[in-house]
Amino acid sequence: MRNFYKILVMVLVLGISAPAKAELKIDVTRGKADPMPIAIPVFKGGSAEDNDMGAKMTEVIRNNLTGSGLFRMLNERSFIQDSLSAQTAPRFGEWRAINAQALVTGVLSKTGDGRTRVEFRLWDVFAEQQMVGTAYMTTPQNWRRIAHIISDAIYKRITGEDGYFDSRLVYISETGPANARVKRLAIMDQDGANHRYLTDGRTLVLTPRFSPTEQKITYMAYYNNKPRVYVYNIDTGRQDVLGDFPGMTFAPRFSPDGRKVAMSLSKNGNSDIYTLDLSSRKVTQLTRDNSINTAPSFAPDGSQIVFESDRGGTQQLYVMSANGSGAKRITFGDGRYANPVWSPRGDLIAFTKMLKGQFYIGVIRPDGSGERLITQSFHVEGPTWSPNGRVLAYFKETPTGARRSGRSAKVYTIDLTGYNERAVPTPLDGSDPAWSPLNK
Amino acid sequence: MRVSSLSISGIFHVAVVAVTMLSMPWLKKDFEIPKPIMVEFVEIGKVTQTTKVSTAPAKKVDEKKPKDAPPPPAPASPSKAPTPPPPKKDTAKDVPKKDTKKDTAAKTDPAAKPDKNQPEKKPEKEKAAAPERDFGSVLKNLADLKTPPAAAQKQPDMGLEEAAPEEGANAPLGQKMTMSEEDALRRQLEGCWNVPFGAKDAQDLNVEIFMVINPDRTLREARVVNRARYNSDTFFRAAADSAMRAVRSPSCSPFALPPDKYDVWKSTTVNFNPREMF
Repeated sequence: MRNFYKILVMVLVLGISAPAKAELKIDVTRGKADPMPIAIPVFKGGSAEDNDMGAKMTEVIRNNLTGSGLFRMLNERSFIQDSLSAQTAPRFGEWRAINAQALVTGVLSKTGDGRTRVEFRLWDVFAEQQMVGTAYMTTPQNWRRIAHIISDAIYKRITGEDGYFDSRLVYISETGPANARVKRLAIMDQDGANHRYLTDGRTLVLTPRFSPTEQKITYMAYYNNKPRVYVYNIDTGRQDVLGDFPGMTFAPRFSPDGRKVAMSLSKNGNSDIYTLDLSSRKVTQLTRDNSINTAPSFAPDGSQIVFESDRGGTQQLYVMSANGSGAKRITFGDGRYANPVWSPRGDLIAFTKMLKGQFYIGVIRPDGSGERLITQSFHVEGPTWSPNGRVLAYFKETPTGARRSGRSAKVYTIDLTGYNERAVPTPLDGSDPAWSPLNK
Repeated sequence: MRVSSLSISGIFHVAVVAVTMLSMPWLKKDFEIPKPIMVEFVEIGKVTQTTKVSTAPAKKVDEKKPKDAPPPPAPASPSKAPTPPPPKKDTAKDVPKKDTKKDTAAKTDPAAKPDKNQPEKKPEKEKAAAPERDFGSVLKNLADLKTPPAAAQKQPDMGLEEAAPEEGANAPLGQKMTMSEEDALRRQLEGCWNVPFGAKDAQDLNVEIFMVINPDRTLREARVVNRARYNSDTFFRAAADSAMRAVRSPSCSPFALPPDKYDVWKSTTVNFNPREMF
C-alpha cells in the first residue's frame, strides 16, 4: 500500500512538472547584411542555338540579381555540376562546399512549333529541396524578357516581394551644349537594354511619368513655347494634351488606378494642385492658398497625396487626403524638400533635399518619421520607385570641362539600403527617369 | 450506512494527503531539488537575453567562482539590468550630432525624425539601444555617417557592467546554460544569418525556429513554429527561410553548445528578429 502511494504521488508530481521542462530559448536580434551567395551555372540546351540563348539568358539573370544588391554570384570556375545534370539531381553537398545557399539551374529545348521551352529551378541548397520550378515557352527573340521574368521569380521566392526586373524606364535623353540642349523622351529596359527614342527632340520634354496601369506616359512639353501636360500612348504613339487650362500646367502624375492625373497649374505667380479625370475630363482643385503647391504624388491606395509647398515659409513636404483636405506637414529638417514620390509599397516617400549647396535623395515614412538620406551629389534629383518599392532611380549631374561649366547627367539606381548605387547605361546623357510598372 | 462510508472515505483521503505531505520525507527530497531549478532557469533565460558578453573572458569567470554567488543576487541583477533605460535616452541624444538636430525638429512635431526612433518603438529591450546605433549601418543614412563611432565605444562598457554580477550569480547552478554559453550560440547564429534587409517593416519580423539537436551538436530537425503564416504570407516565408538557412548553415554546424548540457539544449527555440540592425 505504501508503495502504491509512493508511486501514485511520483506519477502525479512528474506529470505536473514534465511539461514545464524548459527548452532552451535564444533571441537572435542581428545577423549579416551580406548578399546571399547564389550559384547559377550557365543554362544549357540540346543544340548550339539553345546553348547560345542559354548563355545570354544566364548573363542577364546574373546581372539582374547582382544589381539588386541582395545576391552574390559565385564564381563559375568553382562549380562542379552543369545545369543539365543539376536540373534533375543537384549534388547538394558539393554546392554547400562552395558556400552556395541557393542554386539556379536552367535547361532549354525546342518545341514542335519552333518555340523555345525554358525550364528553370531554384534550389535551397541547405534544405536540399526545390523552391521554385517553372517552364516558359517563347519565341527565341523573346529570350531577354524571359530572363527578366525568371530573375523576378527568383527574387520573389527569396525576398517574398515582387521583383522589378521585367520593367522599363522612360527618361529624358539629353545632348548638345547647355544653351541648346536637345531633349528627347526615350524608353529602355530597367537594365538599359532595348533602348529607343519616343520623340524627335524638336519639342522640349520634361518630367515624364509612367501610368501605373497602362503603357502610357504623362509628361510636360513646350509645344509652340507653351508648357502643357501631355499623355503619350507607347503602343500607338499618340499624344494628347491634358485639359485646356488658362495657365501653365506641370508636374503631372497618374493616380494609382490610372484614371486621374494630378498636376500643378500656375496662375498669377501662384500654383495649386488639381486633378483631372481622364475619362470625364472633370477638373478638381485640391489646394487653395497663396503659396506654391506642386509635385503631387498619390499614395498607392489613392487615399492621400504628398506634395511640396512653401506655405510654411520654406519648401517642405505635406500630406493631404486625396480630396485636398487635412494637409499636414511631414518634414521639419534643415534645408528644402522637393519632388516627393510615394513608394508603390506605401511605406516610404522618396524626395530630393537641398541643404548647404548639396543635393540629396532621401526617404521618409508618410508620418514624417525615419528620414534617411541615401545618396548625395553636386546635383541629384528626380527619384522614381521601382515597381516593388525596393529600388530608386534618379539622375545625377556632374560638372564637366576645364572650367567645370558644362554638365553631364546620368541615370542611376540605388537600393533602399543606400549601399548599392549603379549607373544605368544610356547612349547619351539622361535625366528625369520614370520607372514603369511590371510589364504585362 | 451511506454517511458512514462517505465519512470513512473522506477520512481515508485526508489521511492519504496528510501522510503524503508530512510523513514521507523521502518524497520531499526527490522533488524539492528540481523545482527551484526550474524557477532559476526561467530567470536566467531572461537575464541572458538582456546582456552582451564577450565569450572568452566570460567563461573564465564562470568556472572560477561557481560557489561564492548565492541565488539571491540572481534576481538582483536582472532588476539592475532594466535600470539602463534612462541612460538609453541620454546616449541616443549624445551620439550623432545630427540626432540633436532632429530632436529639435521633433519637438515641433513628432515627425521628421531619422531612423533613431525605431529603438523607441521597443523600449522593453533596454540594451537593444546600444547595438542599434552601432549597426544602424545596414540602412545607410548620410546624416549618420558624418558622426561615427561614439556608440561603438560605449557598447562594450555597458556589456561588461551588466554581465559581471550576473555571471557570478548564475554560475553555481548545474544543468543549465550560462549566459556566456547562450551568448556563444547566439553569436554563432548571428554569423550564419543573412538578414532580409530592405524588406518592408523588416525590423518587425519575428521568426521562431524550433530545433531538435543531436548529442554531437548537429541539427537533427528544424521547423518554423508559425507554420500557418509560413504558408500564407510570402514575405514571412522568405524571412523564415532565411532563418532556416541560418540554422542549417554548415558554418553553424556543429552548434556552439556545451557538450555536457545536452538535456538543456537538445530542444532549442531560436527567435530571429533583426531589430538591432535598423
